[in-house]
Amino acid sequence: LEQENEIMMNPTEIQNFAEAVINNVERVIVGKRSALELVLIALLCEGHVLIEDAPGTGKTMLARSIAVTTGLEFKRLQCTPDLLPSDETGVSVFNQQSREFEFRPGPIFTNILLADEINRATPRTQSSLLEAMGEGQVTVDGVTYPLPKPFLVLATQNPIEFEGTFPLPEAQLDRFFMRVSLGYPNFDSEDAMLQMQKVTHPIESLTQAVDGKQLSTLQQLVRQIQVTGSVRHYILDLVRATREHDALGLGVSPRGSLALFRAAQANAAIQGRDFVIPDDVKQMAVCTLAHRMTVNPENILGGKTTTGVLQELLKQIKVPLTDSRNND
Amino acid sequence: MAEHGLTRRGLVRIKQTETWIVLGWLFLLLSAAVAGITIALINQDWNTLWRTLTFGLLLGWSLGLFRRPLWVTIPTVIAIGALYVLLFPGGLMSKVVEVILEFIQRLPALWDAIYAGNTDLGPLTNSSKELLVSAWNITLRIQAWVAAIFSGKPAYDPIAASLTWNALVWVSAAWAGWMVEARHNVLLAATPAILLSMETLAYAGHTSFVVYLMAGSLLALLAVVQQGLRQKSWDQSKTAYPSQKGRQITFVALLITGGLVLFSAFASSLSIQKIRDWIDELRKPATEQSNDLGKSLGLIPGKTPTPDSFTEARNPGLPQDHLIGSGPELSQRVVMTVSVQNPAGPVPLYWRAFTYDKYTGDGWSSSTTEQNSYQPNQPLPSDTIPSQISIQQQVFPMEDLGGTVYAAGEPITVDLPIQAAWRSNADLFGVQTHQAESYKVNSLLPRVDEWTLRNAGQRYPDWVRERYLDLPSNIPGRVRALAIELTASEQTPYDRARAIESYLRTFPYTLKVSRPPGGRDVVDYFLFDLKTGYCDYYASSMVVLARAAGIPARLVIGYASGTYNLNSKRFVVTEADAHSWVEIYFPNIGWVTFEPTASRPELDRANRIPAGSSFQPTTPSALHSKSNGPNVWYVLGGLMLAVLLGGAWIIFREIHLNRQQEQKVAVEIYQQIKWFSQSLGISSGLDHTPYEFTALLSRHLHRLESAATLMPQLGHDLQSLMDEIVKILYRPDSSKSADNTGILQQWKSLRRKLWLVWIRERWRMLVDRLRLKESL
Repeated sequence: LEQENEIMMNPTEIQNFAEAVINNVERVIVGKRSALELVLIALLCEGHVLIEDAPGTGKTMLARSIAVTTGLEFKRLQCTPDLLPSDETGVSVFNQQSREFEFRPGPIFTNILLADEINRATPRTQSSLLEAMGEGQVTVDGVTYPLPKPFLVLATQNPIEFEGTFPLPEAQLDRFFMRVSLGYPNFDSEDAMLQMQKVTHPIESLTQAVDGKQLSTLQQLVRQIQVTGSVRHYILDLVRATREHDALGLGVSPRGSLALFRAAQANAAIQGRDFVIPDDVKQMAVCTLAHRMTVNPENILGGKTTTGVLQELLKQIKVPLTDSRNND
Repeated sequence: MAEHGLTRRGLVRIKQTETWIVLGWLFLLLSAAVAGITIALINQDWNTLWRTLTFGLLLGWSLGLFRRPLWVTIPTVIAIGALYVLLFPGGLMSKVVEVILEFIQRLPALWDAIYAGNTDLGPLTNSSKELLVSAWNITLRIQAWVAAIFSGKPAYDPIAASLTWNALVWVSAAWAGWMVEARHNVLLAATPAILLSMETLAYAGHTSFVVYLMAGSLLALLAVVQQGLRQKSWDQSKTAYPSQKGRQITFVALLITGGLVLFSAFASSLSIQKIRDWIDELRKPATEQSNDLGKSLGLIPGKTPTPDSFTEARNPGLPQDHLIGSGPELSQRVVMTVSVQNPAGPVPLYWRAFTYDKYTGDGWSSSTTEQNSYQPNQPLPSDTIPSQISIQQQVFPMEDLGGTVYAAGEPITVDLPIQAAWRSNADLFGVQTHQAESYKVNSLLPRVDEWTLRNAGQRYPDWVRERYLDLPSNIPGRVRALAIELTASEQTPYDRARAIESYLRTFPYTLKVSRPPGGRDVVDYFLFDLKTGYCDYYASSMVVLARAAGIPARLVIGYASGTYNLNSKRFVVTEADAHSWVEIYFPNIGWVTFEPTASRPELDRANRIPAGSSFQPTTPSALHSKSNGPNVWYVLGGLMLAVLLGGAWIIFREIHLNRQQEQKVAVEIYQQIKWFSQSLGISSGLDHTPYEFTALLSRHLHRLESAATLMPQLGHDLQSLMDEIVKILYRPDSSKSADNTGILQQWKSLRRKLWLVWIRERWRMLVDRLRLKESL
């Protein structure tokens, strides 16, 4: 408890860290500050990010520049239908010299993993990756190998209706902490990007800005951010409403509630606040919850999306001022 | 679980309790209106009208509730109303029930009969026939009544009138219910009922507490409905408002309404005279009361019968008929001189001797009286009527007046031992004394002017109603018809009396008339044959006509004022001044003199008590301010009261806020800011977080010229206050101290600025609107 209090003495520590990372990465990814913040929040919450976007919007650059900025190890896994689980986790190879099986770690043994076009991998490969993401360890031939810490998976996914893909099932989607969309840059940002990349790519000149080893401390610190009863109940109201909503086939799981809770904490932290306010919840709701819900088939035809439903619910649910239940 | 947060039907719910409150107030309002109608009407049964009101209101309300369109509502209300009015107030219900019972009873027999091919339906057809006949009768009566109205000769038909009133009440109640529920327009809803009630009250010349009740409940209803609407609109736009606000506003509105109504009700009836009388009553050794107590205990034997000197005066026939044919030498004989302590103003004072209540057809008499003896200066019982003027006069008899005591108005004390004859308590026949000396009399005259007389109303005490509206049954019909004709277009008893008075004053005056032929009704003879005569004829005719028109009246004899001698400062009364005149009773005013005799100058009532004249009343009743119309002071007083109540409320709130828990204070302040922004036209929903709301408000304030230029700090202040509030609200371990001075200080300074902005904004909007109108 002593130690916790000591940590709480510096609520701006996370803010400074986030500032530094984002400012640095922004030199490469122009005009995507909010998406950067989201990725950083996922990093702080030990969560994984699903990036859903058209090709060429800078997903790889995002992952790479974060890795460079934090000085963390970065690997990239290009998913294809013929990718096998052992291609990502690694295999035990028989060493002729030592006459022993020797484990050769796959690309998953890294700090930041970019799983590109994850929906092109077969379900078998997908699930082994997601299992690794969830448990933070890999088991090959009966031996369990822990993954390094911090561990962040940035999985990208092309829009689902493309040919030759294996869409991620709901249960797998639920394992992602949040879903982020980078989107196309606006006119000015794209212009700035063109100018910057005229001669060389800025990633070449990017340098480390923060110490990535700090991250595990910061992850502990995020968990100390205070959440009052009324805000907690606000989260629960929202989650419950998704479960009772007529247009939704599947509401938000308890894992989703926890993700929203954590993300709100992290969001408060990167703004230098040591307590969560309803604004944090509102800002984090769509990115942490939307991919966990499904819309009923008949409502899909009506143009309903999970994001739309969530935004609608956010407009309906009363923002609490005080805790009406008084069981804080 | 589901009671929290979102339900499937959405968040906006209309509170049931509010509906009931509105219905309750509306019911009170309409009941007051109906009570007003019943007060003003003869024979209108409160119960029936009230039931009609209830059903009408419920029908209108439910039609409004189910959102029926107007073209469904109007025919439904009319159809059900017509049916209801005919069945219940019209009394057809029992007949219908009879038919139905008959039918049910006969049902087995009927079946058999039809089955057997034998159709003996006698009893059933009989009762149905009866029903049809009754319905037809009612229709005929209504037809006749309506026809009479259109032919210009309205006649009173109790059933037709009752049906009409019930129908009117039905329609206005249904209208009120529908209007409030469907359109939420209280003023429009209440208008027909209030108009109906006020019109009847005004016609009958009443002012009643009912008016206050109506005004009060109308105000309260307005407050409740407006608040309800506002809350609903806030709910719909998801605007946050202090949850307590509705109750607070309603409470304050009720408080102020109650205060205003109470104040206005008391203000018009407060009378220092009344208070003084009450104090006097307390101070006086209660001789009469102890007398009564003694009587009830059997201590004092009943009064010994005294020699009755009233006997000859009691049945005088036509009292002044000794004047008939009298010559000028008689008329110049001085009978008495009277000095009035207060120099008389322009008011003619009539010296009253006896009053008569019973018209016999050929003259006048008094009902049986009870004689009581009184010591010198022992007060005679009298009606405690505020605003009477007391007059002290000294009478010097010059001839033997038979011991009759003369006084202007109702005698109160005489400085001689006297006997007074009473028909009942406070209904004095006359006063007699055995001592033929000069005497001092204190008497009471009603203080009158036309306004108070018009507004006296018609709540006559029982003894007045019984005795002074009574006419012999053999009065010719044309006398009654004449009375109705003369008074039909007049609204108040006073105006009706004036109409009769001025009609009679067109008859020429003469003493050269023969006595009426035996067996002829004197009044009928004078009005239709003689058409000329002397005071007895005029006065008798007026009393009879007034009673036929429903105005309590009596004949009074005595002397007219005589001539005022400036040297001796006395009235010199001669035999020629012997006179009969008329007194008419007005509730809470008393007996007021009327002068139908053409030879006498008309009484100028408007200036009867001219302000500032030499004729000063001797009692403090002068302090009783006249209640003509709304008095500026009362209005100001009411406003002051409202302001005081409002101020007290605000101070109470401030103190209350100071003592609250920090979190409650923060919520309260936040909601007040929201409320303020709402009044600036910035709608902020319940789904807005404090910061989202702040951003919205700041943006809006920034756009406002007045705020941006005058108070550049405003946005900053707002932000820092909101930071505080958010910290208090959402930081669990923030100190829960009861010290709110910091945040309250911040809020107060911000509030001042917001108010300034608000006032300037409102002003700008007003100017803009005016400009727009101009340009149009």
